[in-house]
Amino acid sequence: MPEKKRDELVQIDYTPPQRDWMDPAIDFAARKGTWSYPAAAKNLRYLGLPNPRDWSPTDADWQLPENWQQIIHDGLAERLTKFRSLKLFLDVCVRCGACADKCHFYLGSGDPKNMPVLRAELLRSVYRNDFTTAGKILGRVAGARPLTPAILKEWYYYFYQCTECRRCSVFCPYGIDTAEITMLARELLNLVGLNINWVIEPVANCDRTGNHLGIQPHTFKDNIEFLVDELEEVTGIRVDPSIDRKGAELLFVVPSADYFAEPGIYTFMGYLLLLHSLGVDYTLSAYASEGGNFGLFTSNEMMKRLNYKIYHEARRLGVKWILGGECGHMWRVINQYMDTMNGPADFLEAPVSPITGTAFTNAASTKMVHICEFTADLIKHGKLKLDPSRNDHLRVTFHDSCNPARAMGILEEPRYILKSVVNNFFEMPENTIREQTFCCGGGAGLGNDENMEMRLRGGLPRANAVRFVHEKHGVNLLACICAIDRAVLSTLMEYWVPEVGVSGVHELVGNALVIEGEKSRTTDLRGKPLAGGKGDADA
Amino acid sequence: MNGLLNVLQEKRKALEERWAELVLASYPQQSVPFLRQERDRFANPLGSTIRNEIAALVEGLLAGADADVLATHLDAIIRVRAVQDFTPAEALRFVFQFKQAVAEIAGDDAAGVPAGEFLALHARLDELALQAFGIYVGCRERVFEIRAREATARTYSLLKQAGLLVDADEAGGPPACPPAEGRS
Amino acid sequence: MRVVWSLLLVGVLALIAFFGAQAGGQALFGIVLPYLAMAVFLVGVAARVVGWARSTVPFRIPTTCGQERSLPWIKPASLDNPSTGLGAAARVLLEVFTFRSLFRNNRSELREGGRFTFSADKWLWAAALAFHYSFLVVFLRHYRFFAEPVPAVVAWIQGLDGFFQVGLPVVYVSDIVLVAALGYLLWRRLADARLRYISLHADYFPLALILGVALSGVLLRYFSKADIVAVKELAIGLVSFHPAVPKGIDPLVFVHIFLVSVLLTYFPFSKLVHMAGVFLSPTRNLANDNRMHRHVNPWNPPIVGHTYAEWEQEFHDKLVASGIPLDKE
Repeated sequence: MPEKKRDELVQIDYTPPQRDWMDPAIDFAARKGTWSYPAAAKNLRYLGLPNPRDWSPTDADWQLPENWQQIIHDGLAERLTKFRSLKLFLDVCVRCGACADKCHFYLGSGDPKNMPVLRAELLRSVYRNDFTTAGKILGRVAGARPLTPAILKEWYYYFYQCTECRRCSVFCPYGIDTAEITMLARELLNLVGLNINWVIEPVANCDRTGNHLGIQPHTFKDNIEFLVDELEEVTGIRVDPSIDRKGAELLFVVPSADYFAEPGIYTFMGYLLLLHSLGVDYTLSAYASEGGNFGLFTSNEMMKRLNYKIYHEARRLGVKWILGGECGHMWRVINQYMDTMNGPADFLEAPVSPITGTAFTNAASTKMVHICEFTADLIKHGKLKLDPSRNDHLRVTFHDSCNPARAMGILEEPRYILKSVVNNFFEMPENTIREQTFCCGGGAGLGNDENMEMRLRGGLPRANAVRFVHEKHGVNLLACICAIDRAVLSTLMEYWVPEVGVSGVHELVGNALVIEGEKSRTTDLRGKPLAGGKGDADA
Repeated sequence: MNGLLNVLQEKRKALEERWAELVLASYPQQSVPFLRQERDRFANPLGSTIRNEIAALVEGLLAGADADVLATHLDAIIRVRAVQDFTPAEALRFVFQFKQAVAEIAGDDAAGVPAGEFLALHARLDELALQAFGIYVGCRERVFEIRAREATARTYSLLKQAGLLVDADEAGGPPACPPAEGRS
Repeated sequence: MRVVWSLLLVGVLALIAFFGAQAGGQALFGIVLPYLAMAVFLVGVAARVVGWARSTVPFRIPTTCGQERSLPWIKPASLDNPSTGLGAAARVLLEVFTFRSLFRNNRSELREGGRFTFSADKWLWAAALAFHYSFLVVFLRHYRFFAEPVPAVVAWIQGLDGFFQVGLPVVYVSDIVLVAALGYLLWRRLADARLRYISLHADYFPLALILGVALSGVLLRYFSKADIVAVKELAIGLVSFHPAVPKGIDPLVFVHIFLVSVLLTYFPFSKLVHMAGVFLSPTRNLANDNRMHRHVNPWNPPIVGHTYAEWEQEFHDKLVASGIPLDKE
């Protein structure tokens, strides 16, 4: 009986068919949960972006402009002279495969086209066909492909399946950065009206109202007052953040999710408590009410357009320098683009901490300081009274967000802060943190709910490491310094490791911060009781 | 008591490997060697999960482990496959592939095993399959719950601060009158 | 199988030279083609570098792989996240000389079963390093054909390379390492399903070609009775621009020279330009000092966002109602 069975069963082969990567075929209808809805026409019209229309990737006809091939060819030609990165990265790849298993989407899906090298080859093959001698003469033999509608659809699928996290770039011997390739490929896609709504709507909102969520100034103010009330309930302290106040020393810019969505609001409460307890002279802006910049995921022009508001507002309000909240891609823009795009910020002063007198020389030109740099300096100088036992109900690990890690390098500051404000801190394994950190799977505009399966796949490597420290050390909180992370990781944990929550670093600072005149705390900022009935005893 | 289980117990390693191999074969061919070979569980979460949990399942099945023990391991595998590019049938096929692995590994050694023992093992596997079905549905439900929660969370704060939502009294029970402060 | 085509092509090229030289094409294979190839190589590579250099670097986008320089008491990673041009230069040089990024695949200690294995990625690093260095040594050793007297450095390298004094003529370590590393790199592309999937003709051909160059060289040195004096006469003639083909040169020499000529000609049109490109990579050769010094974009587009004045006008009533201060009342 067993032998007979073996013979029968062996005949059935479930192995997926192997096909050459050069022959694309994406069936969008069959791949639910792995792509994002296209941008609504109204948003494109508002922004003046090309080819606004109502369409779906499942349509056979994507309603492209008549001469779309020419548009992309010309767009690529222009960008090859504008961006040395693009030209070089398209030329020098030797396909050594070092990047192949570094992408979280590849690791979570096994789809070989999610290997960074192949994602880049999707564009590179068209570049060869249009711009290299060998490609023009030898065609497919030289790895060249003329751009067809099927290839364009494949671009849409895979370039909106890269979170621009730069992990592959760390391992590439030439520093080839798939984030850069993806950013420029998305610029090309935008030229013919292929974009996703989760990126374009925040861009349109941000341009119009000042923040991604489209919150209007009165609502912005209401929301902050609501958080001030909540904060008073927990701490007994009434903080008084000002809005659009001229002559303040600092302008404080945070990602909008921090004053709007859980769990970011608790991080925001932490900021307010910290700044209030020290008497820092700062103001928020209802106009520059967004630190994040989804223009980064659209085009360099759009990034500049949105980023414009920060310096513009700093100049109008007459502040000395700018303080920035915890956000990932926001800090990529500030660290690598802002000064170049919208500087020089010669109307501001080189930042100096009003509390410690420390000059932030590393921000002498941009004049914008990360709140973790600011707080780490405060703690080092003993300016904060902290009671880490108030975080004893938490066992914390730290997720390095992609952009702060690989496009800035702010690794030690948040760790120093965490170790000062919590008693139970545990690192995840070495090859999943710092510059090797794994993406949350929802960056670069992919954190929308229709893309959920892809996000959960891409988040598997991160969640897997979290599960490890959860099982080994009982970790129940994943701290991070990125607003997208705070939203996306919450979802990720809900699916993969439901026992672990997500927070910002300054939420934990807010918990631990001992302030004169506060009431005895019985709960943390979220209203959860403190460990060991400590609060009860005090009360 | 059981000849078949003894045969399989002796060849447990081979059985684990073969079953894992069959599961991994459902992934794109180019990636299978990597998924199989990379042993670092953090560098290869997908492959490690499948290999480790399949091994645990085999151990549990042969040792007659409780359903809830088996469910933990099934869950770990299905949780991953439920969000990958598989139809429900493809996602769960691996449970039934245990039969193929058993047939191949036991081979001639199982020639003298009475048919009843195979039936018993298959009955056990059927139970496992039904369990797997429940877990799969649970995972899919979770995905949609999460999607719904995200959509709600996005608007909740605004509705709340705009005074459009009313909190139930935190002390429990219906409030005598609507909360005085409009939360704004 | 793409690799077969590449091996075949190199075989055909070798045969062309072998028989072509004997059919009276000695001047063609020994003089004309080498000169032509050298010219194509020099002009081609220069053109590629100039081409890259003409593309602008609008933004400063280093991939940071360590702690930034921020507060004085936090130790910055001066190589992996350089804050100075010097640091960035050191980063590039270490990349070029030690393939640091390839080496980065460090593994956690937590392996299944507690076993330690030398990971495949480290093999890539080791083989790539072995290949490039042995190729360099072989290349430098060849100077003895082009210079009279042989420079001391070349003689020294040669001595070191033949250190083990095995065989007659003495076997060079670099020859063995070169062929072995090439073999591994080729085998790797074939054995790993993912690499086989991504590999193009353009990946197999250079490996096959360099293997052809190396094997013809090995044959010449260890097995054929090539007249070294005549070969050197040819080589010196070439570099002194008084080319002449002396009598009695083994046809295998022309195979070797021809394959090298093909390599030089192919070089600028292929991925082999990574040799020059690695120095220009913007994610590696720039310092992460954007917040300290302004980086200028030569084509910075004159884009102005939604200005405050426009914004205030649009939301005027709401601003007034909520008591947010205005510029214009």
